[in-house]
Amino acid sequence: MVKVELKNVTKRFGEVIASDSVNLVINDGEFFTFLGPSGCGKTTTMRMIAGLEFPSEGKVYYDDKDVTSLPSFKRNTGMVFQNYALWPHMKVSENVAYGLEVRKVPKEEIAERVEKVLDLVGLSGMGDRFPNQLSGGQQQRVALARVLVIEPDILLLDEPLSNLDAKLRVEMREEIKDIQRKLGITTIYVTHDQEEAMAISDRIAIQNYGKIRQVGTPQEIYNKPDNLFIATFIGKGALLEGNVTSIGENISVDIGEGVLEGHNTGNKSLEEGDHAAVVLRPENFFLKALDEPYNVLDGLIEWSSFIGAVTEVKILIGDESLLIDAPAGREYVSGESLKVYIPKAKTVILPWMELD
Amino acid sequence: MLSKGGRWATRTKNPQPYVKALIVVFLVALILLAAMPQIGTVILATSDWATSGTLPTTFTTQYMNTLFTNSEVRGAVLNSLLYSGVAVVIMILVGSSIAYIVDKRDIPGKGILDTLATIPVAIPGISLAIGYFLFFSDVFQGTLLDPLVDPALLLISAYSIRRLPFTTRSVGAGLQNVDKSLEESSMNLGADRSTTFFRIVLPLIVSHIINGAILGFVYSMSEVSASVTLGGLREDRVPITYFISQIVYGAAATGSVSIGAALCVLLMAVQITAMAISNYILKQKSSFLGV
Repeated sequence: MVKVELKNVTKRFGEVIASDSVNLVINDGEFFTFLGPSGCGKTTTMRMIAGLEFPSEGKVYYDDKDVTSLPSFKRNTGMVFQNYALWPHMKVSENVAYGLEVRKVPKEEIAERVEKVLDLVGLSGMGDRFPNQLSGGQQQRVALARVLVIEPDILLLDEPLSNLDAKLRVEMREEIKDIQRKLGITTIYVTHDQEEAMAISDRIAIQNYGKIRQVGTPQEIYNKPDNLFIATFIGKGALLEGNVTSIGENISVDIGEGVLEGHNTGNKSLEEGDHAAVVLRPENFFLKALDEPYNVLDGLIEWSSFIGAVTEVKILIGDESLLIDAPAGREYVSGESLKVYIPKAKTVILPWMELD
Repeated sequence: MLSKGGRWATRTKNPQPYVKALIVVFLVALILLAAMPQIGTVILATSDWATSGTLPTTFTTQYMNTLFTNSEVRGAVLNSLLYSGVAVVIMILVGSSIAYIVDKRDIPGKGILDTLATIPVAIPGISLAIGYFLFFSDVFQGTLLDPLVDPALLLISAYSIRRLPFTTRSVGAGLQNVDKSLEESSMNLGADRSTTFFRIVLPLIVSHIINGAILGFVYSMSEVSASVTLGGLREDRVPITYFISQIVYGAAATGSVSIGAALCVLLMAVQITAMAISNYILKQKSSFLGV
């Protein structure tokens, strides 16, 4: 198990900057996720940690040891590829045994460890099959077994669930998390699926255009976004645009349909008159007055859809549509007006930035 | 409007029975017409004529036997086998290396390498052969590379270079099917480059290598331009195709055209066998090779 540190790591492919001055510490035993839209550089960053790509600038450390230019086969990491990359000419057991064979582990020990790890991933008895005789989920397990068997210092998972169907994806991610907890192995995970990232990670780094935009626990990132990109990338939510009218204990923003008060979670401060965004999560809307300080908005119901635990209601405030999670126990008639209450503590105000 | 297309209702129509019959007749006639030279060659190699008449009168194995009994003929067959065999080894080593570099390595100038490996297809064999003759008989006069001393090395070289593109392309096609991640996962699991090559890449492209080797071998056996130009410079070094040409021109000591035909039958047999093996290996239904 090791701690991984990236210092000022930049990777250029010609003109394109895939990773831009990345500074990170990934702790020993941590489940760490790189999250971002496709093309943001998250896979490149992981590949530099694996030694499959080398930084144009900057350093990579394992436990304070500089491994920047160490080739992949000397790093003792285990990477699961997005397409699994199982070797089609080898049986499952041969695929799994490979890493031990190149390490010159004695034959009897290999057989034993292969069996044990296949058992761990729920594939005992499948050793004699070829990869093309397995389902996607089983191939995924083989890919995982193949890297776990070498007892890697770091487990690297590059969008490992993206080829599975929705149900299997949830099952597998729980299994991966389970195995990781059992083995206590430092795990680095790459995904573009924010729900997956939230569910599985100890900490998340959100990357965009090569730069790390925020690092934090799922709660921190969800509740205290550093900037508007994070706030809109993570979770559902509505944006209301306005200007800062006063700065006090709370920040007041005039959105045209009224003034909302909240606090700035961002890493840039706001001044009176600044252009700002109010970020409201669907679950923070209430239909009656609260005991704590709150904001009130008057909306017009556009539509509603019952999804079980709550009813999703879209309301129109001025010319902005907001999605709210409303209690399921009543009717929401399109065209009727609806008064919503939002706790000031849950009202996030961020400096405006252009999003694309 | 309903579309008739789709998985269960294809747009293809089955022809009427008489149309089917017409198609079969037409195709059989076409194939027979195309195969006339081969059929004629086989007949020529296996029969004798009476002094007058257009049809063969007796079946005989004597010309085919010549391939094994006549020392001149046997020598030509063995020479061709040797040259082609050595040429194939060179083609595989050089061709596979080029294909690997072009497909898997990011080095400057690999585009030029790719082009260089393909160009021989466009160079007429006769130009290559005459170029060889003029250059090596002058610059390397009196050495083993001088075709007047011994044309064998130059023939091997000519075969290797002229047929290299077939091997390079075949191996290249195989390598393109080996996803980069298959090699990366091997290296990630602790295997160095050479282990990765021998345990992951090679087994995955071995059928393409064999196929490339077969192609190279068949085309080398039937190579004409360089063989005819350089092959006759020393009597005990002549390849099959040179020998056939001498028979056709009536210049060979062993004179019968039927022996030439027997040699052609041998070449055809080599090609058909090679195609069959190659088809079997690549499990493809039709081959792009021509007999």
